Amino acid sequence: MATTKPDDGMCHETSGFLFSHPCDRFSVQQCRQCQKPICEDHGHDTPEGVVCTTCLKKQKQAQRQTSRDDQTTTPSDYGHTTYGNDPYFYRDHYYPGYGHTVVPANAGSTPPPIPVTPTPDMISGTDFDDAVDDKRQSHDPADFTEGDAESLQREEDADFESDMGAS
Amino acid sequence: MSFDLSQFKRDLVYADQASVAEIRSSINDIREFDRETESFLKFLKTVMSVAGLCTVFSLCAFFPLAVLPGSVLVVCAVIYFQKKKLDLPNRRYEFTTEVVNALNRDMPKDGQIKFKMDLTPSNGTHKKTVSEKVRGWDVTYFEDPWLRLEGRFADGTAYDISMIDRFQSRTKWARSSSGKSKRKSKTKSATVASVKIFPKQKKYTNLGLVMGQTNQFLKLPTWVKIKKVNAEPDVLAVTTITSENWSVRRTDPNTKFDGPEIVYTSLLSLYQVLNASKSENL
Repeated sequence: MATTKPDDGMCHETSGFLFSHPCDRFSVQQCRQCQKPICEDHGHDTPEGVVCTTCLKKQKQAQRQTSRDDQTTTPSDYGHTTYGNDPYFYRDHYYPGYGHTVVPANAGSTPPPIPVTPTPDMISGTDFDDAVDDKRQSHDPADFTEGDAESLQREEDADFESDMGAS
Repeated sequence: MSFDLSQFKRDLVYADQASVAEIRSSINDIREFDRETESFLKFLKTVMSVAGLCTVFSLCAFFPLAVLPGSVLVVCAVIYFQKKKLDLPNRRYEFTTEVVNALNRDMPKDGQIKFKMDLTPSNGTHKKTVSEKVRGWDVTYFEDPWLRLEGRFADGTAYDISMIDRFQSRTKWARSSSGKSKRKSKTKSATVASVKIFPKQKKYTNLGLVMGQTNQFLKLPTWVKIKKVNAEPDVLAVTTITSENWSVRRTDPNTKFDGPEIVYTSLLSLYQVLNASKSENL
């Protein structure tokens, strides 16, 4: 599929990290698949040559679909890959369906009860520490490092009293 | 304002308003400086080991012979501890590089970032907040705001990202059952990430309708805890905290806790609220 836009020396890719937008950088190469002129950031090295972000996304999506059809994929196959760490691909990896949001039916009305975390009081800007405080009560008194980030706020934390293991 | 490496070597703080290219180049200079420091420290360690061994052997053989390797050992140790102060926390500048690169994907070509990166140690005296005694322990709390990034995306939305390390140090003298006194010390730390976006209200006119649903769009790594969410027509913000020893996956591919992921997912989550406000289903 060849690009229909005239070659004005600019990158013709529109993929972004958070949202799609025209790229304002100069093209330095062409996509091997769609022949689109692309900038350095939008070009990705593959065994077949340099391809643009859109083509590589389609390629990856097709591969994932095939793997799912084959039933041979393990969960880790959907984790981080060389391309998954690239901001252009991050949203597709981490946030399937990103940008194509189905807004909840009751949007604009009273928010529904929230399942587990985050809690409803977060929406009004309430500090989440209150909820965390409850968890603190059930902490193992000898536990020093596990999950006690919140106890870094000043509190009468007696955990250290009984734990003399480290020095 | 161009980056002044000699100034940076003095205060270990880099503050500027610059383009992404300039920031990348400055961080490259910092990385190079840190590599030089690390290799020099490694060299000093080797010299100290050899000098230490020579000193021990000389002491066993003929005492006056120990003067030379002993002096080398002392001089190297002094230089080592002076240079050690300049050994920078790699994850901080690597994190910044990653985040700046990601932000750059959606920034206009001539966009600039207001930037402050503090690479001084978290337990510096000026970062101390409170010292107190908690059940026999001398506890000192430190708060280290080590990164602040402010800029604007191509759609006009402004962002404000800040990273704060909270550090706590506890020490106490304890007596063992055999009667020996020993000084016990412990530290723990956590990283607080605050990501705020300020959308253009003209562009996202329906934001008020989905604001109440912000929590439904939050999709953050399992190893961070949400501390606070703020959703108002002019600002969307999420603050998270983690006590995991995070790293940067690009330089440490085996890490389970990729620090930049916190910022990426926070931004993606907040932008998903903006996307929802433009949905035709509203």
